Amino acid sequence: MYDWVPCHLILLTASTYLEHFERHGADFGASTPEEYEELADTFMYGELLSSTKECTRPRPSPRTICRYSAETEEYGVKREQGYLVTYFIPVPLVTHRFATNLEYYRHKCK
Amino acid sequence: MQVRIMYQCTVCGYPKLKYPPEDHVICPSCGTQFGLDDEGPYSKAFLHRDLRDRWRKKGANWYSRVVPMPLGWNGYNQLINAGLLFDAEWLHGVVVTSSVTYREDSPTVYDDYGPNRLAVVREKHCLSPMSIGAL
Repeated sequence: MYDWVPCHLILLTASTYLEHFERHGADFGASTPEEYEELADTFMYGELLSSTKECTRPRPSPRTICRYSAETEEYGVKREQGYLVTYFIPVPLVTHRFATNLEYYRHKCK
Repeated sequence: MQVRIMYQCTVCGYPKLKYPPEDHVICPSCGTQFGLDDEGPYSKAFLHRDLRDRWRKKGANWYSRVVPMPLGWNGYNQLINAGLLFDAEWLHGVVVTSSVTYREDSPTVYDDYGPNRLAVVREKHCLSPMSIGAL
């Protein structure tokens, strides 16, 4: 669908969207891609709760916005233009190699 | 005519990533999500090698059920073609003295490789001319 967008724009196209559901759907107990997308939308585009941190990464271009909830451990990324990139629950020392998810978040926000 | 640029996975050598291996791109071959799996207080090179070793130890199987596995695809062949099959720290410095044919009939080599298995590798695994350069 977006096969010929400029390469610096990494969007959740039909296939990558399914890939992220395949990888992370189970993190949220989502049984369908639609369910996963709805949860991602709620987290990434919903109100910023006090327990949720948000930062804008300067790199790569275009800039990305990361959200991390210290309460639920949810982590999501979207493009500054609004495209959703990914949504998951990181597991320290397993999915990433930092000791805590907060460290991972801080690292990504550098 | 438009030319589509493909990128190579730096973990498993899959040569047809639609986007550079970074920023949450997921490799359909090994399942690595760049920007997640390869993040930590280590170098990227170390993490990629570690992810590669883990994938290889599990059998180097095709990960994705969304992206279909290419016809005739073989994870070990892919590693060889990318020059990554023997990119293990303990193998650095090994001099390959003979043989240029790749064989797949000794999977046990990958199950528990380490310095003590060097003889087995030499005995059962041969290197293609391409992978010799990687050593």
